[in-house]
Amino acid sequence: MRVWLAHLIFLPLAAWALITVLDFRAASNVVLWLVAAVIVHDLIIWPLYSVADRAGRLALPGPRINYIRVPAALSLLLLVVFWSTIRGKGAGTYTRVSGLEWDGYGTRWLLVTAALFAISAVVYGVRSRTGRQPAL
Amino acid sequence: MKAPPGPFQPGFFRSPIRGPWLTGVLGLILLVLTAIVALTGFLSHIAYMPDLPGNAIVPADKDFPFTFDWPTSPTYLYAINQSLHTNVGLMVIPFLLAKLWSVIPKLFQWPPVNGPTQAIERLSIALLVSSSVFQLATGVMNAQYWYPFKFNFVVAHYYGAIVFVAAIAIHVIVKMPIVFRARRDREWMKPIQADMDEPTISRRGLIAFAGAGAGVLLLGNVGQSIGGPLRKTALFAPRRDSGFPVNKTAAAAGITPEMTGASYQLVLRVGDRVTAFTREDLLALPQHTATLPIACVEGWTTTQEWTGVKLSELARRAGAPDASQVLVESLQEGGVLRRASLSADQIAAGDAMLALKVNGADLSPDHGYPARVIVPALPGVHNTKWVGEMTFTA
Repeated sequence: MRVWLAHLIFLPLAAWALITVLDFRAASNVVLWLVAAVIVHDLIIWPLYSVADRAGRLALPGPRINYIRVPAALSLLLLVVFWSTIRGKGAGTYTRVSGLEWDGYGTRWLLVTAALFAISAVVYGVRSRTGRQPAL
Repeated sequence: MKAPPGPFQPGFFRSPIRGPWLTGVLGLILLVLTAIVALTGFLSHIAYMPDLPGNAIVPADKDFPFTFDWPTSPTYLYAINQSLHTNVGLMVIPFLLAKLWSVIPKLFQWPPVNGPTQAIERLSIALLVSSSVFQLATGVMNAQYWYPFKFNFVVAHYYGAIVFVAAIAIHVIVKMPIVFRARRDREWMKPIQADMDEPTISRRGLIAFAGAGAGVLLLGNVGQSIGGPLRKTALFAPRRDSGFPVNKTAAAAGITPEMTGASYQLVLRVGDRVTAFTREDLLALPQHTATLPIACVEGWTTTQEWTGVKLSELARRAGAPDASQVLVESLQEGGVLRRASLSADQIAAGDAMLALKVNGADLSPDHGYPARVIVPALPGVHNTKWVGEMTFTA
């Protein structure tokens, strides 16, 4: 009952928003992007990082993998989320509206990646030396 | 019907840390974070005061009538609102990825549905995943000036938010009992499932991992929301290179030196009454100075010292001392947001002014020379630059 009432209250609201947005410019493009959002995560992003993680675990069994896994994931997260600035995707628009050049993001990402692995290495070194189990 | 191979087969998913406790904790974290992002998003929609002439981007007949007079105090209200919206929005991303990882086996359950209740629930879950990823992706792209889509960002992000709120409301009502049950049954005390692989990370470790992701995204961006010397710490934010960023240059807006030169006049209208001021006339009026932030909807802020004529003074000189609203129009000949209406409270606010100078010097062309609006706590783009006409309603 609870499940059905929840759906009967809120699905019509969602349907209203989806139907209303169809009145605007490039509406089919909105639908395409909504469908692509699920496909991109469930059938591209998740399988890719799962396969990469599996390969990493085969090469480095046990919790030691985390000293690679965590900095690698944080670096990739920065790359994906700031893809537009790092790759200069918005550079044309940005320069036109702000009057500034868009530069240095890609090289900064490389330095941040190096720093993330360096922090991981320091934590690994300290934990190994103090005899604390090198696990998370 | 036999289950297809791969992830549809029982035993395919090997991590022992998946379970109601992990999913529940990640869900609660996401509920708090997305509540902040959604609330600040809808507040920003209201801050644009869509019921005043020229302000609505989504037409009134396709919108909810929920508005109120956006306050003018504290001055940093809109800056805080948008800093939360954009930075907490970034922090959602790694927690959402972790949450989806924790429940991904359910995507491949076989048979796909066990009856109508589950069918409708899977539909609402699809809407929730779709709208979450859509909102985060479009928001991130907009803040970074990348427009690979053909639709209007504001329109799609607004209706996408309504789909998201509807879908998460269903999800919370349906799933919250499972979260409570996991707490009551002390799920976190139970051993992880023994028949799977050895864990390489603990459940708490995974939550901390997602938290670290939220931390690096926050550190990469938040400097542009704080401004000052911390602006440079925003290593990946677009607005880190200038202490006084320009949202739109004069060249991009089509403002030429002829339009703002000796022939420039500010025209004030109240009904049929028209008053005109040259820039010298405006400088001869009583001047007011105030330190106020400009806060962009995209989450960057800059605070400067502005000098100019109070809007209440202009209203009085125009012949509408108790003006109920004013439509401010830029010299720009086209483009969205070339005009914006202000409310009675915003005209009357003590620090609301038509600025002529910033930090003691004349405004630069890119910052709105000869004159621009500055109103406390107003969304950045409504502080109209290159003001040509102000039409007061008595």
